[in-house]
Amino acid sequence: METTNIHTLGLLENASETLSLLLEGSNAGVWKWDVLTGQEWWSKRLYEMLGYEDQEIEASNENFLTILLHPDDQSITSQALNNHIHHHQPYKHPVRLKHKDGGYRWFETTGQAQFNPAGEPVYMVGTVINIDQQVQSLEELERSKQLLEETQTLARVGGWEYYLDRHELFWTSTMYDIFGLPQGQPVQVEDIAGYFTEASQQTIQEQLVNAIAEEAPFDLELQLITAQKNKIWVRLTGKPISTTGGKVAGLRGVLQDIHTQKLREIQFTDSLHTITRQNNRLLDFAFIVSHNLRSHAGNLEMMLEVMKISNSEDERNRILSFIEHISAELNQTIGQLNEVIYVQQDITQDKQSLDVADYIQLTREALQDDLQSHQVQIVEGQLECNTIVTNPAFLQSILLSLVLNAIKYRHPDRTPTVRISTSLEDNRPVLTVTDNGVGIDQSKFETDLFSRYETIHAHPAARGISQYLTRGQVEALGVSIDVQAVSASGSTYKITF
Amino acid sequence: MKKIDTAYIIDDSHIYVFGLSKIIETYKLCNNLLVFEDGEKAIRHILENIHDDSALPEIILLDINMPVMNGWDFLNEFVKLKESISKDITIYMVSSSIDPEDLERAKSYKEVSEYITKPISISRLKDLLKVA
Repeated sequence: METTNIHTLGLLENASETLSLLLEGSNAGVWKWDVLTGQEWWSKRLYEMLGYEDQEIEASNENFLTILLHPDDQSITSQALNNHIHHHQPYKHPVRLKHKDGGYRWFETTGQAQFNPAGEPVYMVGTVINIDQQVQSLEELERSKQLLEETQTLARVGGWEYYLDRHELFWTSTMYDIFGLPQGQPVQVEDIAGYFTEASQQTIQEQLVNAIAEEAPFDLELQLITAQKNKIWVRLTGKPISTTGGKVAGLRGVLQDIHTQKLREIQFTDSLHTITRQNNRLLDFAFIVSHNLRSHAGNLEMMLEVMKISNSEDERNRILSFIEHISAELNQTIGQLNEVIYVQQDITQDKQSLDVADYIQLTREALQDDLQSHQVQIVEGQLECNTIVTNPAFLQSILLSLVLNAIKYRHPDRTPTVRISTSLEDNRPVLTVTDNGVGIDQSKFETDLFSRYETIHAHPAARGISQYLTRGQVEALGVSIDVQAVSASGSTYKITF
Repeated sequence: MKKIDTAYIIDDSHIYVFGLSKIIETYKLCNNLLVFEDGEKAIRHILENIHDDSALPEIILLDINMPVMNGWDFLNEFVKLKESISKDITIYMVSSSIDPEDLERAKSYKEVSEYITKPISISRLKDLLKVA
């Protein structure tokens, strides 16, 4: 113990010198309070920390309370002092002290009282340390966190993180809001899928596997079913979190509630659809004007010219009959134009129960000349559905179109045969038309089919058809047209109503 | 000026064909006028006479909208046969359509000399059948 004594003795010998060095070198301000006399002493450093010259203001309890200590921190300070003196609890807490420049700074104040044998405090010493930087950093962190939370809430965006090895899922608070779950409720990654529609579940499953295996990010639009059973559109993005070794440690991403936007988008698409349909009608109109109307007008003009150079009465009479004919056709075309504008809007409403055999017969009659000159056979196959509910003009057009198609693409070595049958598939009537022609290029099928309508329109057989249909209208009727098989032995078309 | 020997009209409009034939006949614009009511019948005629230049036309007046084989289909078939034909054949596309799409499409065939909208006036017809 001798060594210690010598050292202690050495320290004590130079006690005041050592102490003043310590006080000057330290970052802490030091204070002393004589409990009995009420006198106080503040170190030079303490004054400096608060922007004062040494002793610039009197070191007193009154000055501490009225000038330096933040009013909001007075109760915590007196309470701490009370607890220390009467209950010997540690005196240590953060307080705001006023700098000479008028601003408050954060400090940590600590102290220790010296008690007499009776247990009464004699004096107390303590330190004051500047912790303003730390407190400010903490405050800033808190502010950022709040800003982030608020932004996420406003934008309905939640963040999530998942670590594979720990099997741990972390959610920001907006994630709970979007799912409609109480904040902080533990969520298991296995349960998440259940909150999505079946189609969305499958997409998530595929994308998650892909993201982990291929390190591929994903960006999906999905339908989520909230805890309150509301079905909402969400956008889920995610990307792999890689370890330094390059392995995928987990996934991190964002979930956004895009329901309002998505509904708007759907509405927009609907409008676009309507506009496209209207546009198609205008195109129909333009087509009839530029082809039929002009063709009649042109013929009329030509007949009048020919009339001038004609030199026989017979011929002039013939021309007159042609002019009568043209005039009748003009009338009809104007009627068609009217229908394009007014009637076609309601094409889907004009659905009737139609006898298929009747329409096959109508087709035979309409195409009589073509069938005869090319020796075409129309064979009525099994008609599992005797009637089909659809628009009459459509059924007539499609039959004419497909039979004309069969004539156009007939095989040179075969007698053209068209077999027409109906069946019921998935409770929907299906019209099947098979020919034994050369088979057509499937990619050209649709363009070909719809341009057929245009030709049909100009075809004498189409006289009875007052309207023809555009692609949009066929869709509106809920009809789908497929080329079932295209081969050297012919084509099969399936029209599902 | 050399007179046209043979011309084709490929058109399914009886009235138009009647008028056109009448004008050609009246002004004796060509010696032989052959009328086909669709492209396929015309192609068959060309095939049958492919090596007989005297039977092939100098000029074809081709309609667009026809049943069975329309004007475009005819052109596609014609392009395939062209190499086997030694005679110079001028094709005029004649249609009542003023659809710019039809006009553009006609331009895309170098076999088509001109796109003419119906009706063709007598003077225009005289010009067309003179030039060749």
